[in-house]
Amino acid sequence: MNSHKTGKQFISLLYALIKSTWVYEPNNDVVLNLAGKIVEYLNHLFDDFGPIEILRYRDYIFFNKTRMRFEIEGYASLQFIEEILKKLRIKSITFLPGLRIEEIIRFASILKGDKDSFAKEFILGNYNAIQVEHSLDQEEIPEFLKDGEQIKKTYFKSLKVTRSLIHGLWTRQDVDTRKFRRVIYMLIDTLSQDEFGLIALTTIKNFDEYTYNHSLNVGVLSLAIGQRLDLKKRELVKLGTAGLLHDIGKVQLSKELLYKNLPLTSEEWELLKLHSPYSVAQIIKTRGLDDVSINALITAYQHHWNYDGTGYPEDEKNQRRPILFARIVRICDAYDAMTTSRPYQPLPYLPAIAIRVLWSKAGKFFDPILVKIFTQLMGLYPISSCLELDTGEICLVVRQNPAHIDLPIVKIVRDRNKKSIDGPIIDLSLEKNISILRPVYPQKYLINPAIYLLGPQ
Amino acid sequence: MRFKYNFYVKGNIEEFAPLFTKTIKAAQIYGTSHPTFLNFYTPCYQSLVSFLRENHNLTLQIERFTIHYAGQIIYEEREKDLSIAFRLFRDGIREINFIDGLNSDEFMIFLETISRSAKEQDIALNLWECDLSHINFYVVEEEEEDLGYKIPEMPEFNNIDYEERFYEILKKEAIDLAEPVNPEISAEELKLIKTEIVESEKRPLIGMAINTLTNILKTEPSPLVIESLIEILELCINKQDFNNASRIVERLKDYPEINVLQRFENEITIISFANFVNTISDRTFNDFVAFVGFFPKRSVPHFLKMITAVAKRERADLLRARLAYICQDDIEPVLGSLKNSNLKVVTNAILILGMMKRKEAILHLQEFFFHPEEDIRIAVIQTVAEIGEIKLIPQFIDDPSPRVRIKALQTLTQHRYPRVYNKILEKIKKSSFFEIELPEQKEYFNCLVANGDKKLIKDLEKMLFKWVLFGRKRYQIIRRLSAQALAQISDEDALKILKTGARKRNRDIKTACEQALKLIQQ
Repeated sequence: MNSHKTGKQFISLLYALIKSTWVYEPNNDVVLNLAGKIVEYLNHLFDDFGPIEILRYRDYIFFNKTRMRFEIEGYASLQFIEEILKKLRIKSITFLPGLRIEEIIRFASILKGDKDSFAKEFILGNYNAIQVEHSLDQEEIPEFLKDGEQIKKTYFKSLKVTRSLIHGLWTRQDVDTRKFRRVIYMLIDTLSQDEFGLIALTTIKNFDEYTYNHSLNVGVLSLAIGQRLDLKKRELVKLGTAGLLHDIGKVQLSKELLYKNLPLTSEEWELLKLHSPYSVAQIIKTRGLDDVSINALITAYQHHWNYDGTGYPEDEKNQRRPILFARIVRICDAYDAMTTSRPYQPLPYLPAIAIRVLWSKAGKFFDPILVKIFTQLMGLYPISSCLELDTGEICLVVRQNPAHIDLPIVKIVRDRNKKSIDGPIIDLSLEKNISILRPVYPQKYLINPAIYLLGPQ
Repeated sequence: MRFKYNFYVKGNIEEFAPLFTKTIKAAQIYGTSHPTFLNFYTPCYQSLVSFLRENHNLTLQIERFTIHYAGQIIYEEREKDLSIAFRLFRDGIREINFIDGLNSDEFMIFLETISRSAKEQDIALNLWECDLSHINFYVVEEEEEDLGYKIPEMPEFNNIDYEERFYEILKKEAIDLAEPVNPEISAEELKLIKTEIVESEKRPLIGMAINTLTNILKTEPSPLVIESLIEILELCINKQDFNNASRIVERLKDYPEINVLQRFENEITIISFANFVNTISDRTFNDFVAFVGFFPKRSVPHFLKMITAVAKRERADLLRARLAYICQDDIEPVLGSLKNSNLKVVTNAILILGMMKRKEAILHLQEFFFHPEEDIRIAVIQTVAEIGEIKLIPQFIDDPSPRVRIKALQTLTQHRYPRVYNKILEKIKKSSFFEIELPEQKEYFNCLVANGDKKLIKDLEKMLFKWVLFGRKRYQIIRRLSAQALAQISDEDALKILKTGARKRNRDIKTACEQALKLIQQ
């Protein structure tokens, strides 16, 4: 039995039951029917799994140790359960064999209150087949990239392989495509364990390594969208490869052109546009022709085609409906390019503004559904965004809140007098008295988000 | 109890281990769809499942040339090229774990992957992509000595007014940060994207790849892109996707310096088309015929050989017509095949010459007029007729083979050659006419009707009403065929004769005419 699918089904049943107990009386048919279904489903699961545990850890929900991925299907139910557990300071709920319909209905209905009333009612309720473990407030706040060594290792190993691949093509040396394939596999596995951790690392912008960083970041972000879409592994491999190789044709352009710090002339612009067809040729050269590279070459060719059919390169038949992967890469490419310092754009767009740009151009440049998914993934204030709070303090976004895209988890890095401090990490969704004033440039306060992401070296 | 449990486990692994080795070897030798493999597979799978039912999982350790369970070797092969253990070890797999709940499909995919992955492929990646729920594996990754990461310094921006830049961007992009954003995906949107995912998983992208590469050729006519298109062409041919194969060749026509089909023009490749030409669907066959049209004249002799394997006549006709099209007006590529020792090839060559309708071909055909093989002579008749040299056909009426004679009569009926009328009439009147079979006799009368003039009805009337003293029964056939011929003509005079005949006292004439009139009524 697939734990992820089972968990997803169980969580959607639990979500429906909780919602119904908040609307109907406990003896209503709708409630009884749903509770009956959930008890029947649990009895079936007890045979295979024994006790069933729903655990919340670092903004993720685990179903019997399997992390539930946020996917577009079942997103609302998972988001709801995560929010309930967080609000009531519940670390885990365990369902035991012997669970009765009446017991689960009573339990579902007490989840409506606040954390104190829930704790009280749970103790008084005398539940035999439901166990709850509470979490402490301090434990509730996830540490920034805690246990992130493995994630860092994956990211930087991937960066090294990407660098060696692109450098190899630039200098016309042999490239190790086997290592490259393994990188995709590592990234997919790491994303399935902690997508926010890996996404956090894409915000480290190294001006000198733009080409390598950009390729990897587009690959990682594309894969993260792919996981939200619940793509099969084989499809993820294709998407990841396409994301990593989308700009590989730039190796055929001169570095003077790529790093020019003045606006491009129209001739230079035409030359730069050739990177899409050049990428196709480079992909074939690097990977040969199989279904993975065919997807990658089409994506590379179409990644500047807009959702409304405009963009470049021209297509002779004018059938410019980009494939799904090209539409995904289009968004990730634009976002990463906007948020990165470039010779012609030294001060980039703030991540929060880049997200808004995607929204303002959704339906024209970008696929509106994919923009929504990207926003669910990144939040309105993506990780490493620097924010000014209404307290006057400056903070860095360290983690997303899946239940509240506009209220991330932040670390205070400047006090109200803008003095550097090693402030606390706070969950803005739990702090009713603090709100975000606006995003700000970290440079203005001499804040280097990378230090917080990578830790002292 | 404990003793019993251990005994059971040991017994099971001892049963499983040799089955596992044999099954892997069978998969390597025969492939996983071969019945011999299945003979090994079924007991192996059953043994594994019963082990997992008792023990919940089975963890195998991988070493360079061996696979172990609890320190005991269960597979060993020291020949690198044959050793599955070596392939797994080389690709970093150190442990494989089978979990209770393993189904037959998963185990089959696992065996298929470890036994059939090409040498240069990475088994770890192939297994990983299979995403098997009840088989885990542990892979050691190469350790990188120095990942070379350091905290990048913030670029320094002197004289930048961050506030100004912030508001400048908001204005330029017309963004209001206070505007609410709702990224909730509606049920309709969810359905839309899910449908697209399912469709994109199934949809082959070859067609789009061809469009992409041919578009690129306009800006970047690199040999690499051309070579890739030719590689895709090969892929299409192997997958019998001749529609896309034709598209590639068509697109590359703009580059006359490139011989797209060079790789496929050789005899071996063309003859190999015979492997599928009888089994593919009509639609695919039509695509194939269209694709054949792109081959150059010099490949015609190879195709002539390939056509000999085509079982369906209509398919062979379509292919021959395509070859005639390839040759355009040039009979030279075909002439060589007239000397081929395989008579089927010669027959095809003769038929194609007919389709080309070139008069100069007659000269080369003459040596086949009296060829000992009747199929060849039949092909000659057809070809001569198509070329328009009908005058050469009557000589085949005297051929020793009834099949050839019938073909000649049919051809003369179809193409009309009035000069043959008297010869046909004479033949009918001869006593030898009674010695030939009815189908041929019928063809004589058909030919007579087709090539007759005003004299025809009179001649038929004479034959119908002829007074016969001897051989009355034998002559019945001439009366019947004459009456049928008159029915075929069916004009006023013919009807009058038949009606008169129907009133005759001679029973043979009466019957023949009555039947002919009935035929007209029908």
